[in-house]
Amino acid sequence: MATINFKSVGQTQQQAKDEFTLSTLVPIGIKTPLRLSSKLGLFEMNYSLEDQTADNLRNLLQTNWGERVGLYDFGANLRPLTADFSSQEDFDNEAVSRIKNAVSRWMPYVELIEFTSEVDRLENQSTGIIKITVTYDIPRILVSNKKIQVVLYVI
Amino acid sequence: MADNRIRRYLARDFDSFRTELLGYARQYYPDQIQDFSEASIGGLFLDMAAYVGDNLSFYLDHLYGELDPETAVENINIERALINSNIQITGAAPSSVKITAYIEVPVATPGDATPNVDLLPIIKEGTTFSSENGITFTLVEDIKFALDVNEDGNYSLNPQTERRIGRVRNDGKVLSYLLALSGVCVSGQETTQTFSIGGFIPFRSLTLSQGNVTEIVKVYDDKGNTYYEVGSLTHDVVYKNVNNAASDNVLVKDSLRILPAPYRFVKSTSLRERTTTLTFGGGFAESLDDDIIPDPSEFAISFPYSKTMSRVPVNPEKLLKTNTLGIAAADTTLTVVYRYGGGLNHNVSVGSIKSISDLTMVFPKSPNNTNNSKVRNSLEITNLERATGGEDALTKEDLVALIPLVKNSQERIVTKEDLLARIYTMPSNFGRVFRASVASNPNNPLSTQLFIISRDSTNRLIISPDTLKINLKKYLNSYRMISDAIDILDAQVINLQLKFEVVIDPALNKTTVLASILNNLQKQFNVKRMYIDQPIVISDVVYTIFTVSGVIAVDNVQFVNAAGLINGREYSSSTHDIKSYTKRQMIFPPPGGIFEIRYPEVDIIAKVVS
Repeated sequence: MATINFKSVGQTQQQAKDEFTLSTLVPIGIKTPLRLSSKLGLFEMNYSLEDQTADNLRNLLQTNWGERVGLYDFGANLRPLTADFSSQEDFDNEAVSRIKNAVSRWMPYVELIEFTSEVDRLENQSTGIIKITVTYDIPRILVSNKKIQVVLYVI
Repeated sequence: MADNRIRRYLARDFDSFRTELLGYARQYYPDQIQDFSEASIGGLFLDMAAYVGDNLSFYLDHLYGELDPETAVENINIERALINSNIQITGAAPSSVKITAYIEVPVATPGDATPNVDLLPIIKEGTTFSSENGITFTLVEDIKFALDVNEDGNYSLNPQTERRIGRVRNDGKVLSYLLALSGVCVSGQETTQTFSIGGFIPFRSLTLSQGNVTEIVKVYDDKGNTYYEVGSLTHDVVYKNVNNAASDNVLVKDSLRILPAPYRFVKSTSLRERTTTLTFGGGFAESLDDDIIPDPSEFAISFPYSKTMSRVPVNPEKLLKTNTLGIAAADTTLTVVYRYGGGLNHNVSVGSIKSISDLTMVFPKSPNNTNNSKVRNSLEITNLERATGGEDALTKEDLVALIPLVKNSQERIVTKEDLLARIYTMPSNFGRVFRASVASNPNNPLSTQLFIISRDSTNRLIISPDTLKINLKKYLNSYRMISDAIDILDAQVINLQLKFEVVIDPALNKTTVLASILNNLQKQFNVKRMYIDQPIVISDVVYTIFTVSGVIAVDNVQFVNAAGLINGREYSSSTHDIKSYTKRQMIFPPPGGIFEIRYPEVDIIAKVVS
């Protein structure tokens, strides 16, 4: 049986470092999906522009028209493409166009580099998932070749 | 701790709320969050807060808008505003017309100078006729060929009857006379609806099945009670014209009586469906004696504790002391007789009323004489004048436009505005004035000149019929002050032709541009936009033409007076010297005059020049 005096319990070096770092950094935006913070503040926050931009881009790609209050045409509006999915080529052409339009309007500071998609049909062939990977740069903050992947369901 | 943060309350819409919230967050929470771009979750929260603010602001605006009838959009609120302003929502107005009945009445003895008095009939009120286009007209007064002046059973030929010789025997002796006499008819149909009434329910409402109800003729129950229509359930007496039985009845036909009205109802019409609802009182007849034995003399003021009295305000419409707002019908069958129907198409043309739908003809002196059927069968009718006064139902916008007029008015006619409001709100069963204007009488400082004009079924201006003027006179008489005089005059209709030259862009289709110009001008000179004493501003006409796309220049705009018969088209006989009435590019009508482009399709003449 071990007996430990609480006076000898402290923080690890890393914990102390993180706490110091967080208290000196300025939060930029709320991290998604929303979750309560276990450290400072109510929600977990992004502390770097790179992370915040990645978060915003993901939200943009996964939002469809009509979903955002007050901004009916916000989003890349990709879900409708999955409703009448016929061929990957048609899907890719339209998806690229929509992503480009949405990013140039809502996040013009992001420079799109590459688009890849991968269709994984399920057994009955009428449903499946589409994994979209977008590679992008953020020239203003010297971020390059950053990748983000979103998953859409063929319905 | 005092909160010194500055909040601004000027934001009203989504964008301004968002801008305010963004500024607030950046000013007071820069160390908490920085990204409020549209793509971020911070931006989403900002949008949602702005959306809530926008919604609240919208409903606040909406609620305030609903308080003012001019900005209100919900029918129920507009209805309330109309009721508060004492404006009756009405359906389409019926037209009225004088029809002439012709009968052939044999003489008692061949060669008599007068027709057989025993065979003179009375065509009773309620007889219905129909026009060629199927409109029903109901006689609203008896046509009395036989007249009993002294009500002693001695009938004679009505002196107003027009008489001509009918059939003549070979020896030249007159066998019969052709008689003609007129009576007033109103369009629309009369119908009877019965309601089976159960137990006592205060303020019971009954909705009539027909729309466009123009008049409640009679309401009675099977216990013999008559229910009177009142303006408000607080009015416990009604004024009624009854036959004057005194010796001066030749000079004064009717006298006004005050009748107690314990059984009463108010009429209201829905703005949307134009259905009519009758609302009865809230009292129970078996428990409230005050209502059953009403007595106007109870109004007399008693002052047992004092020998002096001060001035007392009196509401002449509330003379009885009752505890309720009228008695509600209970455990009975209620019968409602009412008249409905109307519209512009009820203004039928001359000679179009020929058919007799339902004839009630009585012979006071010989009810069973076989000769009666000959007289009955000889009846023919026609209308020698056009039916007028029929109007489509006032639109919601028309009714709302009446509110400012009526709001400043009162039960008495004091100002010119009162007079106009009273004319335009005259019950539609008396016919309807299309435009009215009031001017001082230059010859009599105590008198006012009232100019009126009506419309026919083709929307053209016509002189208001005599029946309408008589109705108007009676109607205004009950509201005017005893010392006031009102001269009802016909407004002078000045028919105009508009001529102008226009230069049109050669690159465009001239016909299309010209059609647009003519269309805009026809709208501008639509009779609904014309008022008595309203001048025509020539610059407005030029502006209307010039704003049509493709018009390069407008020149030589001139108005010409059209009067009499021109190329088969009938214009007003009034002539007008336009040149002498033109001042500073404005053409004025004569006092009490109204301009009209009677045939806009031919009276607006454009010439395309290059």
